[in-house]
Order: sequence, then C-alpha cells, then structure tokens
Amino acid sequence: MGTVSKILKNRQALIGLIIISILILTAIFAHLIMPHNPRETSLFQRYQSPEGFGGTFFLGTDNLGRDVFSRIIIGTRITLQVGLIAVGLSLFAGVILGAIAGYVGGTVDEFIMRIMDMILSFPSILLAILIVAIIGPGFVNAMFAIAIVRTPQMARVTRAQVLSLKEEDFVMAARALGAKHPRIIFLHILKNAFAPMLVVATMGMGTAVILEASLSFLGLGTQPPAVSWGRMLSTARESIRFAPHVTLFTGGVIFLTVLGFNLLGDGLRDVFDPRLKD
Amino acid sequence: MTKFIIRRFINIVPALLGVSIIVFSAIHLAPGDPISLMAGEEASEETIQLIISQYGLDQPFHVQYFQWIGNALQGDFGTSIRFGRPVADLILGRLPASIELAFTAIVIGTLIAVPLGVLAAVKHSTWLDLSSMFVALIGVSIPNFWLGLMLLTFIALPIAFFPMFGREAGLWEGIVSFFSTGSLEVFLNGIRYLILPAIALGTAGGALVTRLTRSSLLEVLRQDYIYTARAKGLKESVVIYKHALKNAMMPVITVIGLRLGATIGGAIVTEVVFSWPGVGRLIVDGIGWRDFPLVQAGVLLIAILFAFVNLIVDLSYGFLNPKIRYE
Repeated sequence: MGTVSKILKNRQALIGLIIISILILTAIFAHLIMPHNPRETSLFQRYQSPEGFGGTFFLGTDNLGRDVFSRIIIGTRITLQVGLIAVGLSLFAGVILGAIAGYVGGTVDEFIMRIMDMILSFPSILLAILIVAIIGPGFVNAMFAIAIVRTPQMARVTRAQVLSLKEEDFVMAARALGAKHPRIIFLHILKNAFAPMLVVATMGMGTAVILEASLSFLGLGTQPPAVSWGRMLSTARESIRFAPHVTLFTGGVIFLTVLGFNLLGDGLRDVFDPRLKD
Repeated sequence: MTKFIIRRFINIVPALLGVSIIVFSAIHLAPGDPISLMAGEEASEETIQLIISQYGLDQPFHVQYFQWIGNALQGDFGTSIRFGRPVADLILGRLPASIELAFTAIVIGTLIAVPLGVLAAVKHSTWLDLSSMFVALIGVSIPNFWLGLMLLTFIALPIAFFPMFGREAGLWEGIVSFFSTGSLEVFLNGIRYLILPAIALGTAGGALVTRLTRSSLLEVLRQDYIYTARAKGLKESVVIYKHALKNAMMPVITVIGLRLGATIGGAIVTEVVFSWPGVGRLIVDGIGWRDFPLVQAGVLLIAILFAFVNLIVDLSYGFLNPKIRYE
C-alpha cells in the first residue's frame, strides 16, 4: 500500500487533512467567501449577536460593528502564512544545522548544539516575546521570532536522524563510490530522514499557530489594520460580559486549526512509524 | 553520583551565560532610545550626560555587559525606569504569585491526567480509552489564553464565587493565617482566585501527561515480567498498580518536571488573561513601558528558573533510574 493511501486510511490524519484543506481553501478564496468587508466599521451595528445562516451577520459583529465571520475568514491568511513561513524557515535552518552537527561531529557538533541549547534555555513564548520586543512588534518579526524559537527542535531531530543513518551500509556504499559530503547528506541521509522531519514540522505548525496568536494577543504580533485571530481575541476580551460570541468563535477557530495540525501530525507519525502506535 | 551532579551543573553554565548575553543585548538592539525615556523629552544636555555616565552607557559593550552581570550576580539588576525602584525588589514581589500559579497548574493537571491515562491504558481500545484520548487531544490543541477567556465567560461570569481577575492573599499567607488564627478563610479565598487560571494553564500539560501515561503503561504491560506476574496468578489490579505502574511512571515524572519550565513560560499569557500579578505580566507590561532593566531581569530570572528546574528533573531522573546514571 502506498504512503498516500495509508495516510488517507488513517482516520486521524484524514480528519486533520480535511480541516487543514478547508483552511487553505478559505485563505485562498477569502475574497470570494467573505460576505462583508472585514474592515468596514459601523457604529450602529456594534456587538450584534450571531444571526446564523441567512442573517446579515452570520457570527455577529465586534466592538466596531465589523463582521466577525468575514474577519475570521481573512484571518486564516495571516495565521497560515505565519505558520508556514515560520515552520519553513525553522525547517531550513534546523535541517542545515542539525545535518552539519550530526555529520561532522566533534567541536562543530558541540558548538552548534550548545547554541541550540541556549535557545532551548528559554520557554519558547518568552524568547519569542523577547525577540519581538527587540526587533519591534509586527507580523514579519513575529514570524522570525517563531522560526528562531522552533529551530532547535528541527536541528535536534535532524541531528539524531543523521547520527543513526550515517553509519548505515548505504551511506558507506555511497562514500566508497566517491560521493561528495553534501551529496551524501542531502541525497542519501536526509531523504531517509524525511518522515520524522515531516511529523515534527506538522506538529510545529500547531505550535507556531498558538505562538502567533499569543504574540498578537499580547499586542506584539500582527498589527492592525491586518486582521489576526490573536489580535481579535485581545479586543474581544473587553466585551466578554455582553458579547462573548466574538471570543467564542475567534478562539474556536484557532483551536480547530491547531487541532487539525495535531491530528495530521499524530496520524503521520502512526503511519510512518507504526512502532510508536501503542 | 556527585560527579554526575557536578557535571550537570557545569553543563548549564555556558547556556546561562549565553542567555545572559542574549538578554543583555536586548537593551542595546531595542529600538527607541532608553536615555530619552529616562530623562524625558526635554531634558538638558547635562541631565543626559549624567544619565549616560550613571548607567555606564559611554562604556564599550563588553565592559557594560561585565558590569551588568557582575552587579546581577550580587543581586543588583538595576533600577526600573517606570517605578524608580530596584528591579530585583519588583520581581521578587511578583515571584510568589507566579510560582503559586505554575505549581498549582501542574498539580491540578497531574491529579487529573495520570488517572485518566491509566484508565485509558487499562481499558485499552474501549470507548473509555477513545474518549480519554479525545479529551487529551482537545487539551493539547486548546490555546491556554482562549481556554482562560472561556472559563471567564462561562464560569466566572455566571458564578459569582469565582472572581473575574486578580489575586488577593496567596496560598502561603493562607497557610500562615491558618496556623496563627485557626481560620481557613484566607486560604480558601486564595483558592477562589487561583483555581480558574490554574486550570487554564495546566490543561495543555495535563493532556500531554495523559497521553504519555497511557502509552508508557501500554508499553510496560507488554513486557515479559508482566506476563510472569499474570502467570503467577496475581490479581489484575496488583499487576497494574504494583508492577506496571511503578515502571511506567518514569518517563511520566520526567515530563511532568519538564512541563514545570514550559508552564512558567505559558503562565505569561495566562497571567495577562486573568490579570494575575505575576512576573510574566510584569514583563509584558515592561515591554509596553519600554522599561528595559525590568524586562531584562524578568526574562533572565525566568530563564534561570527554567534551567534549574530542568537540571533538577535531570538529576532526579538519574536518581530514580540507575540505568542512565553516569558512571
């Protein structure tokens, strides 16, 4: 059975995949789906309760009379963008650092991994907050901060894979045939380390989404007028007494997004490494 | 064992030095000019010069760093720009609230998580297992600040017993008051404020612990000595609680310990949601005020705490499991 059909047969992975596909489609076609302009304010229509299907405001309106449903839809863009780019960057940096550390070994390994340890000496949200405090708040900076915070995990996984694979026969064979080091690392070793890295990256997406939402919630991530779920929650927080729907729906979508990535990550892990499945 | 402890201690020194350099660099890389913040917009040239020399800002970077770290080692983290008071005092004043919150979160999480994980493993593949794992999956995926907001909306708002924000006397004061006056009132009042933030903060870690307890126990239940125990005719409850659980708990204890560090970090956002007067909220406020000495010291303190908690977990792991003890 091929890997793809195995993934599709795994119920967790499939549900996760469906949730994420819906999110990606929402982000791409946001402008077609949104019933209202997400930035259009209306002082006469502040804090409208959800009206459900068919109503003018499906999920109600926020403190400035903006349509919550439309804002959630446009917010998928920032969330997925930050998640994908941050995880992509950390994957890129982590794979290179981890591969070098594992393959070269010795002092180089010591040096790289000590720096990774340094990053890991901070709780990740704290380091992200510190980085954003240094380089200034904003969506791009938050993305970099999350990438830096997530790099050590990727480096560790890559290093562990490289260490366990570099003594394998097929690597020896490649070396005996005169393959150059980068070719051995990237073509022979990393190709075989792909599965665990994909699992860690998928799980990392969930973490990145939470980190971005947390930073924006604290006012350190995405800045208005860009729409982000974390930011929406921090505004909605002031109105939980009389308009809890904004908090409920916005946070609910963050939760679903993280759930989607976790389900897919769990499912992929079970598919790639059945030993880990109880 | 002593050698092992010493080696682990020495190992965290470079990491902590690195942390201190990162934290110190913050003030120099940060946008905005701390001098004009301290002196005010219309300060005279003399005032500015005075501040520069007072804070040693005319010295080269490394000199300033060594000065700062030297002072820090003696407990002097500088003066808060906003409050004009020693940063160390401000942070130490907030520390008990943070520790109380993180600790309670871990305790609540563990008390629910471990039994749930055991139940899931023992009733493997039944609806009990599936629903515990479903709950755990939700717990892992729910952002703690949203859970906090939901608890405020759907529990604190309708039930007057739970306050919406803040903290009065701490649990420790409550215990002291119990022994001096015999009344539990202060203690229970402390719990009233503490319980919702602790649940919000402890859920993610608890969910992880549930999953781990389950998989660890399932792993152990497949070992030969469990078959032996069963073959001897021991009751299933004895097999599970006396033979299996003890061995399955090893990795669980480690993760609970490591969660303590992560919980201290996660507490930052929870403290903001519940207006909990802890170090995390102080740091976030400090960033808003551009109060860099305060932010520096707060971050450094949490990083040090984090490193030491991880060290203690590491050591106790070696202590509990002779197999991994270094020579």
